[in-house]
Formats: sequence, structure tokens, C-alpha cells
Amino acid sequence: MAGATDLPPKGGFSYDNCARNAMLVEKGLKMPGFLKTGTTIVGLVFQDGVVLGADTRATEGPIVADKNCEKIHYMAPNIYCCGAGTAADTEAVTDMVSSQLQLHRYATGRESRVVTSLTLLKSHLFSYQGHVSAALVLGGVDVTGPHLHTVYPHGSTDTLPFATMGSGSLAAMSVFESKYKEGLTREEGIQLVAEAIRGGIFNDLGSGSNVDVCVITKGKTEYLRNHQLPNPRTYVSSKGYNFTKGQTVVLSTKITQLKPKVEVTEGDAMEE
Amino acid sequence: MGDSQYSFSLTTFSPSGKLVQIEHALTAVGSGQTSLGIKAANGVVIATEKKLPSILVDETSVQKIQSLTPNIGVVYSGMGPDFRVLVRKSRKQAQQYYRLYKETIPVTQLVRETAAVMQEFTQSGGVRPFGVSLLIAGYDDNGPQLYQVDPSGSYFSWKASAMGKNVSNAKTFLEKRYTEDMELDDAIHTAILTLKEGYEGQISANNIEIGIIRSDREFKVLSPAEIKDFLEEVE
Amino acid sequence: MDRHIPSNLDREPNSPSGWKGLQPSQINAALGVSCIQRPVASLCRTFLLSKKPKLGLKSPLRELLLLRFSSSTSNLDACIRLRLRLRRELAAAPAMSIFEYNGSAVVAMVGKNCFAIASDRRLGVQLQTVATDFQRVFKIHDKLYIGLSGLATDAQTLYQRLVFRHKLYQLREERDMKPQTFASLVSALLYEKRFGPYFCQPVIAGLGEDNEPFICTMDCIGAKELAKDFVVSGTASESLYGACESMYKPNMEPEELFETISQALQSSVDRDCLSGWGGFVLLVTPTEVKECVIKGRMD
Repeated sequence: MAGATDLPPKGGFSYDNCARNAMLVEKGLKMPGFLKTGTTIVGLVFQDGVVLGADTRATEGPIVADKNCEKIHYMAPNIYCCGAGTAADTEAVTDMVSSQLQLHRYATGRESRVVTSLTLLKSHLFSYQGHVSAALVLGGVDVTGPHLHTVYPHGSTDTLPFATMGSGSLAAMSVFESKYKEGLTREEGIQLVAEAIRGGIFNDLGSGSNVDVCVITKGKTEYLRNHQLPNPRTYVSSKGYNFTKGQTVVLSTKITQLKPKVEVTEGDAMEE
Repeated sequence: MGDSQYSFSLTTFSPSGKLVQIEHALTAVGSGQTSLGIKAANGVVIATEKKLPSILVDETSVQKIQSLTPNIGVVYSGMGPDFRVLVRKSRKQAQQYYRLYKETIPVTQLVRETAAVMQEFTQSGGVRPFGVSLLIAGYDDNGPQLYQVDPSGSYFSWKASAMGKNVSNAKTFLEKRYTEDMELDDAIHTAILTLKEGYEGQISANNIEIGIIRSDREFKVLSPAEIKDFLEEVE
Repeated sequence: MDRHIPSNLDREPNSPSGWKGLQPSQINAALGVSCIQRPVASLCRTFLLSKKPKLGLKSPLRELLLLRFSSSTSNLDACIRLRLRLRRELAAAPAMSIFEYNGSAVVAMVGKNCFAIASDRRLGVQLQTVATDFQRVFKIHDKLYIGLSGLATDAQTLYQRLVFRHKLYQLREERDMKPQTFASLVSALLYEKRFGPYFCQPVIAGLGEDNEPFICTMDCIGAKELAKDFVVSGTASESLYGACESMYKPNMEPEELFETISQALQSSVDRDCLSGWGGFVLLVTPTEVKECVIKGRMD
């Protein structure tokens, strides 16, 4: 794929650069790290649905790359999915499956089922043998009731009443293990999820910032973005930095005036 | 297509410069059930008659108007099975566009892609042209839009159009009734009247289909109950 | 300096005796003078061939090079001993990242109905500066720009592919791409090469509909990171984070935004050896585009 044949991808990965990159590693250069969502993600089943939760920190090595990213991804109107691992992988794999689900809904004319998305996810991940590093907590409510699953990067899955994933999963699980019970109400469910995420935020370095929550019940989905903000920025100077104009030494300047776009209206039909 | 000895194009020029296969495909469309579409100031309506071969067929199982994306719908005249193939391909195309740009496909682009598929089937080896004409209705940043795509792969934007049996009568009727500032509800009435005009027998909520899209950009196929309300208004 | 030694010095012959009877050139090859360390090696060779080689150089690498270029096979044992010592030290020192090969700093900031995108102007090959007028910020259309930090060759290749895709889009859809749409396209192109990535970290900045500013960055495999205030990338990204975090204010007017981004860039690249050598700042408002070359330290 190069030059004039560079057409929109038909899908799938391209391995064009692999040989070159392997050569660079051979020469002693280090492969770069990718954006990771160090992450605490959780989910639980309550009396009439599923609650999903996530922190909002993205890291690149020890650097916090994004203080308020979104880790709860849309799969279908009644299904959402939390992602941990390599950010690009979680994003891509959930996007791809949600697109397949959409087509499937058009073909069947019915609401998507959670197991359908689970199967699509795991078969993709398994086929890449763990190289697509996405660890997911999948939750939703369908015609067969509420469901919660975890998906591991290699494609194995679990079906659980409460689940945690990511680097903060131990902290979050300790909260669930001590406080989860069957038949929680909606409010109790949201509270417990938020507490588990806070456990991750405060005790795991890979997780931080805010709490995102998503509540899915029969026929209704509520995405509570930044449900809690336990780490507001407290050190902003009210005045900020002020630079007097012309402090920067400018060597050369080029100014281009932008003309407003001219609308051309004409028929777009083609001749027969 | 494959390398078999039959992988030559079936659509070849006649000495007079015509592509007879495409003309035959248009004939198939022309003998199909009537469909029509009207672009109003605030939306688009597409409608079709749904005549079934026997009264024993369950009419609720037949869906002639389909959504391609949340904001684009389509109806056909001609061969049902061919239509399903095109719908499947178009939906996939729309999803591919969305996955690349994270933006819903504009109506013009989806029409172009669909027309490109139909054109390809007039030139490829081992295949025949599609025996359908499509009316594609959508609403995007460029406002309400109505397109007709023919088996040859040519497409036009229409203010109002009809196809299938009774095209000429229906088109004449639409030409008389159409006004530029028409509201969608008027357009629905006109659509029903046009169908009624050429319908052999009594139209009812169960033997026509209507799809509409308004400025909320949600394409919707009307339920028999909703169609019934409009039918009563017309009478 | 040690961190720039390539790790393939590690490759060991099967046994120390395997070294005997080899020509110095063969030893050199076995020790692995890679293309990356060649400038260092040739420098050392020049130095050693000069009349008074300064002895008592303590760095194991220099000693090793000294031995290597002294054409004395009798020093083989010393050579091997040194090599093992080097290996131990290398194991502790991190290898160089491909992102650091050319050095770069790119930053974008949002102001009131405007945005600015800035980059440094250095193109280096490791610690050697090759050019001081290198362009890392590219125009997609009048109100959309992309800055590509990282490996220069990949930045230029990626830019060419993006221009191609954007022109094709313009012809097909008869409109310019929205910044958000363009960001998704870049992301898709990068993720396609998930297992053999371009070593670029893009920064995208543009004015969208109603002149709403949009900025975003992503890692080299297309994980988008949207921000309302500023985004940074390149070898100076750590110091840029710090500088922007304290210097940025919301709703800056174009003039103030220009000063802020320029100062943030300058102060950051001054703390990064691999970027700097002047800066390039591009300021876009709904009515005009201002491109400035700004002065910076040249060391």
C-alpha cells in the first residue's frame, strides 16, 4: 500500500512497517510505550440492572497523559463496556464490535444481546492471541435480563455478579468483597461502584482523577460522566501568568488573511 | 468474479449502442409495484404499495421500506431479493464510513456508494444488473434529500419522484400537486393520494408502507396505526 | 551519554576463546559498531589517531574503543573484560527510544475562538544537530493543522498520506474535513499499523463549525486524547506538561495566546537537549493565520 494505490483501508491490520521496526530494534533502539489506561474498572449487578464504573486517568509510563479520559465505551443502546489496557486497543475493539452489533440489529430487527457482544469480543481477542491488549468489563440488560462479564486480553471470559479489572482491580475488589450483597437497590449499587472506583483512584497509581458511572436498566441507560470529582485542582492562581506583549523575539512573521468560503450552488445530478 | 469461462460481462453493447440488459432491468423495475418519494421543506416521505401474491401471506412479515442508517431510509421498485443485497451492502458501507471518520455518512455519499455498486454490476463478469430502482430519503447537514438510483448506476436528486407500475401517471400527479414550500404532513397526504390514484383496489393501512424523516434526523417507518390516521385525514 | 549506546554491544561470542585469531576488523564487527554509534566511533578514531591520545579515560566505552582501534590483538582479554563491564552498565542504563532519535517538541493551545500550535525547529540525529529549520507543523486546510513529533521520516510519510486522504475527501465530498473527523482519520491510519507503528505522536488543532477550536493528540497507535486546554508531544513533552499546566489560562485573546504558547515552548525546550533551536508558532483566528519563527537558544 503506497503511492497511487493508497486507497482507504478495507479493514484489518497492515504489517508494512514491521520489518523496518524490527531492524531498528536490532540496531538497539527501544520500542515506544503506548498510551495505557492504568485503570480501575468495575461492574456489578443490582436488583434491576447493571452498574459499570471507571476512573478517568490515562498514563504513558509514569506520566499522566489525560486527567479526564472516558473509559466506558458504547456498545449498543443497552450495552456498555469498560476498557483497561492499551487505550488504542480498547477503543478500537469496542468500536468495531459496536459497529458489528449495529449491523446485526439492522439484520435481525431486535435489541442486541450481551452474549452476542461477548462472543464477538472474545473471538477477536483470541484470534490475536493477547497481542490486542484489551481487558474489559462488559455489562448490559437484554431480553434475558441483566448480565455482567469480564473479558481478558487473550479472549477468556467470566460471568460474574460483580467484577473488577485493571491495575486497580485489587483495591476495588476489596471493596466489593466486603460490601457486595445480592439485591442492591439502584442507589446502593451506584454508591458501591463509586466507592470501589475511589479505592482504585486513591490506592493505585495507575488510576486517578474522577469517577464515571453507567447505569443500565431495562429500557433505560444513564451515563453519569464525572459522577464524582474527588480530585479537583486546588492550586490555580487566580491571576495566572501574564506575559507582556512582544516579549517573545520574533524573527519573521507571515500573515495570511482567510477569505470566507464561497458557496457554489449547482445541480449535482449526473447525466444519464 | 472467478476465472471461469463464464466470467465475461453479460451486459454488452448492442450494435445500436444500447445495453439491452440494463433496459431489461428497467423493464423489471417498470413492472414492479409503485413507489414514490416527496421532498418537503422540513423532511422527506417515501411510500410504496405492498401488494402480496396471495391473501394467505402474512403481511406483517414483509417490510419494503428499510433504514440504512438512523437518518437514511430506502424503498424500491422491482425485485425484492436484489433489494436486500443492496441494503446489506449499503448498511455495511455506512458503517465503514462511520468507523473511519466517527461521523455519520452524508446522504450524497451513501447514494454514490450504492450507485457505484449498481454500476459495477453492469460491467463485471458473471453477474447481471440489479432489477431494482431505489428511492433514498435522508436528512443531514445539507437538509432533507431525496435520490433515485437506477439499475445502470445513474442517480438524480429529486423534489418528488415515482417509479414502478404507473410511473407516468404518478409523476404527472406529483407534478400537479407539488409545491416548493410543502410541509411534510402535506407531502404525506400527497403521497397517499398518489398511491391511491394508481392503486388497483382499495388501499388500507396494511397494503401500503410509508417512511418519513423530519428535522430530528430519525428515519421512521410508520406503523399501520399511524398510516390509518393519515388515511382518515385524506378522506 | 551512556544511554545512547546501542544495546547490541551485548551480543556475545560463544566463548572468550572464540575471539582469538580474529582480525581487528572482525572483532569490530562482532562487537557491533552499529550505524547509530558510528559517529561516536569515528570521532574516537580521529582522537586516537591524533598524536597524543589522552590516556586514563575512565569510561568503559572509550576504553573499549581505544582498544578496538589500537589494532592490537593482544589486548583481546582486556577487551572482553571491558565488554562485560560495559554490558553490566548498559543493562542498568535504558536503551534509547526511537522517539528520541530526531528530537522534537510540539504543543497546541486553545484560546477564545482561536488556537495556536507550535513546534521546535531542530532536526537531530541523536545528539548531533542536522538542521535548525525543520518543519513539524503541517497545514491540512486553512483552519486545520497537524504537528507530528517523533521520527522525522515517519512524520513526513504520515503527513503525505494524510494530505492524500484529505484531498481525496475534498474532491469526493466537496467540503473541508472537520477537525474531529480528521482526528478520527489519523487515528484510524495509525491503528491500522498497530503492530508496526509509525513512530509519530500527532497533535491536531483546528477551527471547526462556528469557529469552535479543537485540539487533540494521540499516541503512535491512534489512542485519541481530547483536551479543552492544551496538548503536548515530543521529547520535551514532560517539561511542556509542566510549563503549560502553570502558564495556560482559559479564554485567552490571540495576542496573549501567542505569548503564552511561545514562552511555554521556549522554557520547555531549554530543559530538553534533543529539541529547541528556535521555534515555530502558528496562530489561527477565524479571519487570519499568523505564522511566526521565534528566536531561541541555539545550544
